Amino acid sequence: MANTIRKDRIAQLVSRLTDYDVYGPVEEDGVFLYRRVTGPPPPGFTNSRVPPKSIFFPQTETMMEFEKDGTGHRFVGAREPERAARKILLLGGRPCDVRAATFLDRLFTWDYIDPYYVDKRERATVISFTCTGPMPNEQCFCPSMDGSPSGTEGADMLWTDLGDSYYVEALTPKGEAILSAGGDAFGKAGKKDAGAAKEVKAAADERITRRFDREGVAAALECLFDDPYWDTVSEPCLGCGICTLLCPTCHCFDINDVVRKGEGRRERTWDTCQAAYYSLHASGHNPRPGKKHRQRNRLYHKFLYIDRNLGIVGCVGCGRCIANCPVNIDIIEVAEGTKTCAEARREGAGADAKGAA
Amino acid sequence: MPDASAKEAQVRDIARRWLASGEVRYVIGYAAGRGNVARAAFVRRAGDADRLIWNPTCVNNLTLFLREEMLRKLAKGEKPDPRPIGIVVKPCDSKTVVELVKEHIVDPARVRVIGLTCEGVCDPKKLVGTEVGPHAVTADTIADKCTVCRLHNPLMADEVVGDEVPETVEDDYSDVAEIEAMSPEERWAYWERQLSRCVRCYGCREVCPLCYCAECVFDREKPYRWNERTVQLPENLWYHAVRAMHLAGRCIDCGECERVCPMDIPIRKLNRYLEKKAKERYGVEAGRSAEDAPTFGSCDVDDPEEFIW
Amino acid sequence: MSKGTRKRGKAEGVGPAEAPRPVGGRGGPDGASAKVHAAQEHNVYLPVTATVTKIELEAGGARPIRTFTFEIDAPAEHARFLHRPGQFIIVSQFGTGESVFAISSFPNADGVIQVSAMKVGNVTGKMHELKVGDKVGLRGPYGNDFPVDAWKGKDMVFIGAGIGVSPVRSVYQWVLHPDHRKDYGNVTLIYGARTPADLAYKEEFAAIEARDDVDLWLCIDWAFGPKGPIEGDAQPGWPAINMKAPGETVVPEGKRRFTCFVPQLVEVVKPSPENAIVVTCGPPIAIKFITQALAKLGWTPSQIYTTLENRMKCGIGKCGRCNIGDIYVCKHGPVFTYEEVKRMVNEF
Repeated sequence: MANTIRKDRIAQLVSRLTDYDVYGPVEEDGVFLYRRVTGPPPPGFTNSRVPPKSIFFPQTETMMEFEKDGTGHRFVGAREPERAARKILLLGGRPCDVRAATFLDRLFTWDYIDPYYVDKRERATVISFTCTGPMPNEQCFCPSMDGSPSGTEGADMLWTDLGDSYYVEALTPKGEAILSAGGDAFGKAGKKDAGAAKEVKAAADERITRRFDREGVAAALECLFDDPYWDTVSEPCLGCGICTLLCPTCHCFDINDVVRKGEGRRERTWDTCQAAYYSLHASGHNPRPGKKHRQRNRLYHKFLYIDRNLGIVGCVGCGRCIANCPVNIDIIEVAEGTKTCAEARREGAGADAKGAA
Repeated sequence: MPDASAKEAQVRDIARRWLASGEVRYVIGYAAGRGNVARAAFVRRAGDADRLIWNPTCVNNLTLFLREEMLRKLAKGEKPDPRPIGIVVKPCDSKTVVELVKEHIVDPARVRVIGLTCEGVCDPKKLVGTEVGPHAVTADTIADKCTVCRLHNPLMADEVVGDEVPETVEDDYSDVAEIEAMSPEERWAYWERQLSRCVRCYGCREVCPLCYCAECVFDREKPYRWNERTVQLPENLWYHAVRAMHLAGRCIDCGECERVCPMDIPIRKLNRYLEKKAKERYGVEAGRSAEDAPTFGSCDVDDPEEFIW
Repeated sequence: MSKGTRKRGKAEGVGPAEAPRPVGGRGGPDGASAKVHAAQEHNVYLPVTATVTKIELEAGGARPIRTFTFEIDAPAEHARFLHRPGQFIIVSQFGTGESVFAISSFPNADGVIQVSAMKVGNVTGKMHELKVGDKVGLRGPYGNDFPVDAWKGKDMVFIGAGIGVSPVRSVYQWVLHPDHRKDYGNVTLIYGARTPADLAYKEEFAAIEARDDVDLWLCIDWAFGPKGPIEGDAQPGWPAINMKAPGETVVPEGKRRFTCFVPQLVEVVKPSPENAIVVTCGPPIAIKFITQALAKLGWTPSQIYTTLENRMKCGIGKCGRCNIGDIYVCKHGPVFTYEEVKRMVNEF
């Protein structure tokens, strides 16, 4: 049985969630970002520029602190920073970004537990919002990545915009806990609400026009590693890190020691495979020296490597890398291009074989 | 004045001619990209010249790729090709060519320039949501840099496309006035807010045709890092301050840094401020003539040096 | 091995002990992560402190090599650092950063870890300034290991070039240990460095040379100019060999020291591939020629084991950068058979 919540009661709901740090999208100088909030998400919020992975996996995070003794050269001992114990509520994740968290869950528990991510993730309750208003937009392709603009994977609740109110579905015990904490801020949903929500979801599905042939691309990549195709597609690439830093599934990080005034911290910071220093050996050798190698690695990693290692594709179809690429490189176009290229190669190989025979 | 499609046809003709005669290695120009917004294209065969386009979305400064090629190390076994590279530039981009020639990065003999006259292009960010085209330059879509641009005819062009446009706007740096009017506290608050958003993708550095250090100080690891990789205000501030200072007197305000910024940081405000200061103090204006002395490569006894003395 | 904190490579079918696995297609997670989570009580990123108890200069020059012996301070942590031959460890120089090293010491539960480090980067630079009694941080051991149990009953050939001998050392120490020596057949050890002074672990090799159950061969290559051997320049006691046809060298009775490169020495020694395993580590160029020399002698790629390295940060398959294709060097390696290496994408 579902519920509803009137938009003007959301602030009241948040005020009742005293155990939670509530994060939601806010508009800052024209950019949507996730910040601590006390009220409802702004109407018509789009995908944030920086995905909400930053709540569980902040761009810069202290892993430990250490100190030095009087001489300043000898290490005394490392201590873990105290972790916050409060619960976290993500109020207003888009289904693609929330689904990306399930990807990060697998990665950060792959054999070894990443305590920083897992700790925050376990404390978090996630409320997804069905895409409405400006979303989905012309870059979205989540259905091709097994997602949906009203997808529930990774979410504890799904709210669907019905105009003056949201249609509220609690999906997990964590979601139920929000319902009970909210009390009479929520109302009962009627049959009409359920029907309206269904229509909103269907309308969102229909708005997505971009398609991505995941299997086809993965198959093409199998035989395309050494192809000159990568020279061509990487030609206009700047080698900046926008596509990776804004990606909800990209998870690479760098670990560095930062010392200020004798106090030391070990910090981890998002890193990007598009940077030359990313894979640079101390000896000066770089296994991925050019931007073609790095762009190739990004695509292979997303659509092939991660799938082989974790059984999940490293892309949720949010379209951020497409919308924000400064040189208008379109990951779908590049990936789809691999199919044509692989086909030409296969035909060429077939012709060669015949010629040889 | 010929319209965009007439200019487009001329650009294609010139590129085709150059490629057919083999006098250029390839032509860097614009081609149609996603959402009818132009993207960089590298045309190597005369038969492909029709890929080239010219329309109000041709905002990228392509000289970046020219500079990249000029500084590229030859691959193993690769023979140097002395033929020049053809490039399509707008007047603002042509200032970059001037600046690169001035700084001895580009040898003028190794570049053939197709220069277009221009009265402004669109800011792709202002086209979001209308990405079907054809796009037109209107008061709503014009790029900010174009509203203060004073150069509508290309410099150093081997072939000019389009009729000469009278230079009209006088630059009064009114866009900088807003910042200048702020108290130091207000300025701090403003930049703190803006730069806290930076994700340090280094897009502004990578896209800048004049940021060509072999190893950027922000990538340097050995023997120590000059700036931590952590993304926090002190590091972000340091990065943006150093980036801007390294472009003082050199930046020609192509606006690419601000255009590519995924966090909409008003980077041009820093550049424009320094542009104004360089002009006021040293009478320097970047990208006007390759004969000028480079700002940091020259000095005069009358240079104001109040910060030293 | 660390208890319960990681799935064993072999249990997962990742270790090279099994039949050759296809590159890729290792399948997704098998639900074991939750189990691991319950068992993993410590923060994997948090190093334990250890004291430097011994520093030995192995080779001088602009990029000196030193062997460091660390002793983990807290006895409770000792068991967690019982490694298997081939695994690596991450050493922290607090304030500078972390760096990854192959563990070169014999597996032990006494909290003693040895690594040999060449001074190349920031962290190794700091390490070479360490003094006995200084503290470092250690975390690990990580990565897969040499399948020493599966090799029982086989002849063993160890080939090391330069500092690359350090990961090999953890295996030959294992094999030569009195508890294990009887499990293996003939043992041949081939090792080369630039000059006699650059030969690492000198005392240890002297002891090995005295044993009659190991055939130790050494070479130095300092007498070679860019165009080949410098006439008459060989070190006394280290005769040069015919580099064009090293296989035809007539070895005087008991002679085990030559002036040549390691791959040529392999052709001199002519180890038999029958029921045997080669463990070789060194610079990529040396590995390439060593494997070519072995191929001439009839060795198959699946008999040859080596270790790979790549830039790493986390060491546990999260931070991304060490992949060669879909292989994470930190998780699926660092130990690979040459057959597996050959199947990897060309991204070295």
